[in-house]
Amino acid sequence: MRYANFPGCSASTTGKAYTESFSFVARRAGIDIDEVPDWNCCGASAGRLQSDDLGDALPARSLANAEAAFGDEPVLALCAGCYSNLRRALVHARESEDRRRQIEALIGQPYEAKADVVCGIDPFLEPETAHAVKARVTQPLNGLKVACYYGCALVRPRALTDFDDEENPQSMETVVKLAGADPVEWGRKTECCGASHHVSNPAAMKPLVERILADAIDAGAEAIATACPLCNMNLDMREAEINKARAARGEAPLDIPVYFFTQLLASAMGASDAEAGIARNFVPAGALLAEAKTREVVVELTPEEKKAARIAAAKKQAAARKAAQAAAAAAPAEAKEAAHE
Amino acid sequence: MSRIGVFVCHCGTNIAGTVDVEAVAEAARQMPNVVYAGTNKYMCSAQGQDYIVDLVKEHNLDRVVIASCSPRMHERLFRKVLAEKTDLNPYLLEVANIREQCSWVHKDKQIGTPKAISLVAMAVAKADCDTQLFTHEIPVTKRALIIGGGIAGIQAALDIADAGFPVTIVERKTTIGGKMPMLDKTFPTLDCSACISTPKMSECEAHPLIEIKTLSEVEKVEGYIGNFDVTIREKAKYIDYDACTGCGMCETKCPQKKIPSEFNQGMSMRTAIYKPFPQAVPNKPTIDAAHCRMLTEGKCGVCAKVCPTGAINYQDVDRVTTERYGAIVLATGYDLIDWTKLYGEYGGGRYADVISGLQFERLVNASGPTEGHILRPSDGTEPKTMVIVKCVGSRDPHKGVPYCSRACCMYGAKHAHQFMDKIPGGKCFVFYMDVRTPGKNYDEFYMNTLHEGAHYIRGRISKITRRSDGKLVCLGEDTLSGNVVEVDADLVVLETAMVPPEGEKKLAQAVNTQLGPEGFFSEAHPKLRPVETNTGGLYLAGTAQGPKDIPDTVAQAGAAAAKVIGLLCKQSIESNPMVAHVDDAKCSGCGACVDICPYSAVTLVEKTLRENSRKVTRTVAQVNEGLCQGCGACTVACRPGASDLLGFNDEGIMREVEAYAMR
Repeated sequence: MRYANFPGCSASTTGKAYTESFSFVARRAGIDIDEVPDWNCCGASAGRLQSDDLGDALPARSLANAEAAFGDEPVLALCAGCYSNLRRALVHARESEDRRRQIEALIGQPYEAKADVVCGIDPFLEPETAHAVKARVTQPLNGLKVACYYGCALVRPRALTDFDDEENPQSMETVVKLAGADPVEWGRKTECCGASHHVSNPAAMKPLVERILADAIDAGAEAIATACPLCNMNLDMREAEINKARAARGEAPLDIPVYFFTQLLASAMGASDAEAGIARNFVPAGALLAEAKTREVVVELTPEEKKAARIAAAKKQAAARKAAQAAAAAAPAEAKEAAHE
Repeated sequence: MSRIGVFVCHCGTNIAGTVDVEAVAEAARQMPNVVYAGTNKYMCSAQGQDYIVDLVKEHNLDRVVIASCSPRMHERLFRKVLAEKTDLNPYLLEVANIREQCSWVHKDKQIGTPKAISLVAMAVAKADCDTQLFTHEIPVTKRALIIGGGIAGIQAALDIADAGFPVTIVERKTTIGGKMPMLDKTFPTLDCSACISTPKMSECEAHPLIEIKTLSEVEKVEGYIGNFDVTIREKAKYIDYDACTGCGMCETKCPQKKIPSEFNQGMSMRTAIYKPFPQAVPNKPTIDAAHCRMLTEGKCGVCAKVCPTGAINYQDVDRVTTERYGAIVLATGYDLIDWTKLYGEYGGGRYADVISGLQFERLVNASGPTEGHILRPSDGTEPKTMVIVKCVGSRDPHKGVPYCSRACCMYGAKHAHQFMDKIPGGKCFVFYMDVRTPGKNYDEFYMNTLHEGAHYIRGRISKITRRSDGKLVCLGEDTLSGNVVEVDADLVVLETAMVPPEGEKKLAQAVNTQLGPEGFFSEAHPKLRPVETNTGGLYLAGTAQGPKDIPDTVAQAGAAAAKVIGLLCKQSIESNPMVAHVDDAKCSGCGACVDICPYSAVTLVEKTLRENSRKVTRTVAQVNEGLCQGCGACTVACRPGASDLLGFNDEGIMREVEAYAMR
């Protein structure tokens, strides 16, 4: 599958590990990437808050460039914030012919909103790609318990993203399973992490992050998987500070590494820690993966498989009994024959 | 030459506020054939009516035009005035609607007045070619049909039967009773719901004039007021009710024990042959064909083996009958909205300890799955902290329904009270948007609950998550103090919206009546005719008409019964004379009218007519005046113009158009 990639500002900075691990997986899974020519900032939080026009025009310019170069090839945005902003421009242009023309006038170039905009999880939902990834997994994570964190921009607002269920999404869970991980069900998949308060008001954001981390651990997770550089940074970067505060309060520390889901895939596909960008994680994250790979595989059968196994076992037993009876019947007959002779 | 009188009503300021009624009367005086025109403050009042009667006599009028509110309001009244107090035929009356279609639409007298004058001119032109019309009598079959066997249907049946008329109750489930036997205690008196409803259920069964058909549905209704031909399908029960004693042996031996019980709202299991609850009426079991091994696979048959009277019959089939009834009451009740599909933030059904109000009723009911002990469905322990969330689905135009479900504020308070009563030291938090307790003794009940210690928090719960220790963490807001609130609950009860039950659309089509935008049956007038529909002879009772509580349901059932009794005690009723009429001379027998009639009121018949002094036998259309509702579709479809509508004939309509165009 071919995608026009919109890197966004975080691709080579806070999201570098995401980009590195995604590239590693993409090369081996048949995902081809073209970079959108002369792309610009998507507007982040500030663009759309400034004005509706700015909020639509900034992303639309990049989308128009992608369209001019690559036609209706889907545009991939790894960062959830970029994804949300690009989707906004796309949906506004698609919903109203008037708006689309206004947007074209604002950006000074044609834009027909033909190409879809997808997020980082989307390529792996394609059956071919999932199959290719599974085939290349040489070091599965053997049931590593992972809590998938979506943040808010991937699944809300539904009218823009139309991607997964807003309350209990399941798409990332499907993807981490490919790496052999075992996703846990937990209640804070889409809860707020504080977003930009990380920078402007860390005191407000840390309790929210602490709750997310604590809840993931409470649900049995050993690691958290994310699909956005900002989510990842918020959960990962302040964990040490949060633990310091917890220690001061006499509470046990929360020890849970935060990975990009692509890091899990890359590692399972044989990437070194460097290739998967593991060194960039704030909370040390390499040891857990290495340990998971050494675990014994416990295969959990589905109820249908269990039933089939039971029936097969019962049939085998019945056949064995019959054979034994036949042998017992044959034996006296042979004895009789022997006696005759 | 007609002698037309024009009477223009002020309607207080409703019309006079935006229409210069005196100017209208003055303009009317100049219109052709008008010999008198005048105004009155309230034409529909006794004084207004006398005014009309006096002037009809004084000026020897032979046509009356009243410019007033919509004919749907008072045309019937004015016709009655003409019929009873003057010598005029009541159909020599025209009503010009200068209120709903004029004064209530416009704000400017300069626009409203000329429009009113046009409307009056049209009515005057039509009145001139109105002819006398006569009703005839339609016989009334003195039997009533009640669709739905809940408390509304039961009450209506008892009232009608006590008045001496035979009644049939058709109920879709295997027992009558509806939702009431599921409830534990009812507000505001906290009497036991089953204790007050089951005696009425028994009364129905014992009443010599009441026939109960359970596991039955109405498939088709043909006919009209006084003469409804109803086709009822009684589904196979697989048990001979005459032989069955209700001993229950079959239920104890049935091997299919893992079917979620609908009566216990999925919180316990039942067998394939079952009685939904011990006080069911009729008190006999039925076989759930979809889950019975004998009926699906041909194996088992244990119930037939153990039945002491041999009442089981696996070869039973549906029985379809068609009977005639004079009146029908729709009392089909409600269902609760399926919140699990809409509110993922409350767990979407994945948390066993987040339950609906009706499930809570089953928990707290002594005949329920936990014998009346409030226990958590997940682990059977007693909850110490309960959270009630009101308005789940109600008042939510975005995800649920836009209306208020009316009973939940009261039963929410009831649930809080019951929880604190049964669990000493139990804490109950009720999250609300408003508290609506308007009925008799209702607010006192709510105040009592507050005094008992229920914590009412004004705000919604935004999310419920389940912690590993089993607690349900409820995140909400207290908007009165401005604080974010979090409650670690053991049990969460969602008070969900009342919605129309499944199959309402199909039933509405079968009985030929309308549903409102929310799917409840439409009443004829929300204030003045709450238990009637626009279909004559068809009445409404209970939550089928809209969400309400038990006192209002029973009141409506009585009202519907009164209407039915009023209809059935007549020997005959007057037909509507404004029906289609076919001129045989012009009719070519093409049958276009037969195809287009929505009421199947027109048929093609062979008639022997005299034409050109010869007898000719040809096919012409014939209108059944009883079935015809006067919609006029056939008059439009008719190409030679043989079909015309009495009281709304083509000539009259053309004259209206001319009168309007001339101005």
